[in-house]
Amino acid sequence: MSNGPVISEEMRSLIGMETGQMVHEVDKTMLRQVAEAVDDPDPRWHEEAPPGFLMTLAVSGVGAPPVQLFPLTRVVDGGGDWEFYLPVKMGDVITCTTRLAELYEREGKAGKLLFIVTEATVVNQHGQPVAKGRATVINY
Amino acid sequence: MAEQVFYEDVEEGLSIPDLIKNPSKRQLVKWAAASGDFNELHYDKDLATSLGFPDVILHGRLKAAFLGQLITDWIGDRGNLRKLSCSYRRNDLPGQELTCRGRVTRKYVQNAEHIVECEIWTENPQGEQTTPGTAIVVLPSRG
Repeated sequence: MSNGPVISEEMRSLIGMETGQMVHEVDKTMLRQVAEAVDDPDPRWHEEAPPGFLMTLAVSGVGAPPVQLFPLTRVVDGGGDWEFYLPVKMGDVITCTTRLAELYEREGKAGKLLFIVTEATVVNQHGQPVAKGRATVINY
Repeated sequence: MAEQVFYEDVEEGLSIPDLIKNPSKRQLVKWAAASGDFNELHYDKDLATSLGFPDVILHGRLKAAFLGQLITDWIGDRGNLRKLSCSYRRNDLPGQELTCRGRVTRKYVQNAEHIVECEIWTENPQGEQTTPGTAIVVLPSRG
C-alpha cells in the first residue's frame, strides 16, 4: 500500500452523489421478518415497523457507493445513527434514497483506514420524511 | 410488557431494564434475509476464520436493532424513540449472551415535549461494552 492519500480526486468528486433509491411496500410479511430476526415479540410490530426496520434499509446493496473505485478492499461496519420522525405502518409505501455523504481517512494501527458515510432519507407515500439514517463503513 | 413509564418517573442516572439476547447463527441468517446484508462474514465460518475471527460475527446493525428493542421495551407504546446512535466497537459472537443496557443521562422539556437522553450499550460475557451509543426518546408526562 502506498503512503499517499487514500482519497483520490475522483473519489472526492463522488461525495454527495445519490447512490440508490428503493421503494418498499411495507407489508405484514416484511414486518414479521424483521421482528423475528431481531427476536422482538412485541405485538406492536404486527402493524408498525420496529426501529430495526430502519436499520435494514440502507444496506441492501442498492445504496452502496461505487466501491470499485476505492483502493482498500477489506470492509468493516463502523456504526450508525438513525432519526425517527414518524411511525412507519403496514401499508405505507416508503422511498429510501441513499447518497454518499462523507469520505475521510485515518491512520490505523495496521495502515490507512477509509471511512465511508452513507446517508439514507426515507419518505412515505404522502411525501413526509419518516426517518433518516447515517451508516459508516470502514475500508482497510 | 411492563407498565408505561412517564417522564416524571425517570431521573438522571436511572438504569433502563436490561434486555438479554442470545443470538444464534440461525438468527444471523434470519437477519441477513430480513436486511439484505449478505456479507459472508456473518454466516461463513471458513471465511470468518480466514480473516482472523474466531467464528462468524454478529451484524453491527442487528446489534443496533437490539438496542432499539431495549429502548422500545422500556418506553412502551406511548413513548417515542427519536434518535439512536451506536458504534460497533467490538465484535460479538453467536452463542454468547449479549446484554443490552442503558442509563438516563439527561431529561428536559423542549417545545412542550418531555425529552430523555440515554447512554446505551451492548455488553459481552466479559463485561466489555461492544456497541456503545446514545438514544433520545420522548416520554408521556403525567402533568
